[in-house]
Amino acid sequence: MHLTRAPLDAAAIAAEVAGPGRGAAVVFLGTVRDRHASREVAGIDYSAYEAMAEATLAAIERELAAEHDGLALRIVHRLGALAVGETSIAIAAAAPRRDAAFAAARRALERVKREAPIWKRERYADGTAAWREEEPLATRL
Amino acid sequence: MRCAPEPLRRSPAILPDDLAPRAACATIARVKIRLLAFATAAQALGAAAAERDVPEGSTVATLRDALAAESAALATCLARSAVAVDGALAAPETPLAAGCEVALLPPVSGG
Repeated sequence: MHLTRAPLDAAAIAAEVAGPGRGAAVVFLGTVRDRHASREVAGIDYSAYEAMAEATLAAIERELAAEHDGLALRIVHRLGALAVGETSIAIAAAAPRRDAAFAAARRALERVKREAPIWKRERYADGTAAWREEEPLATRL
Repeated sequence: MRCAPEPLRRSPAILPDDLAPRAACATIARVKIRLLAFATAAQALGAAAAERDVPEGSTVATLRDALAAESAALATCLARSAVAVDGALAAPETPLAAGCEVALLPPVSGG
């Protein structure tokens, strides 16, 4: 499972990639920011083409794990209505050495942002809302 | 494969075999596809899911043209959107078979 409507548990996700041979673990958390440009944000609604997004996140995990020896990677994205401060994405990367763990976590996030069919709709403090369009969907970064 | 061409259906038993093909050829055969639209594409389409009958032999490109002709809002949105067929990003020449799931995917903003 790579998509969930339940709050993300960073410690649980980190535990999934832990291992005795993996001495370096990186956890990235994306959280809902309180401002966009000059506007006050009340929250973000995340939605997805769920079947395709599931497959995409699984492929990113699999492909990055194949690129780094000993790497374990987990990507979980939240869907639904999130409030400011809540975690929208958690990425845990664990590897024998820190270079691979940092690189894989960073790369995983960049690939999710371009390849996963997931959208945010920002809700503003003034009661309005807007869909955000950031990256044309790509097969592969 | 959900999107593979369907085998030709036998004509209904009540029609003589030699009449059915001629009747079918009187008009261009059309196939039903399922449309899914997300984010601004759902706004532009006016629905998150819909069906369309497209001429047999249609491709992603011909469907894009047909949808763009439905409304200016849809044309504008499609110009910046990707299209997936049965869950995989599709090229303009990708064929559409009966029962295909075609998804309209505006620029994404996950993370």
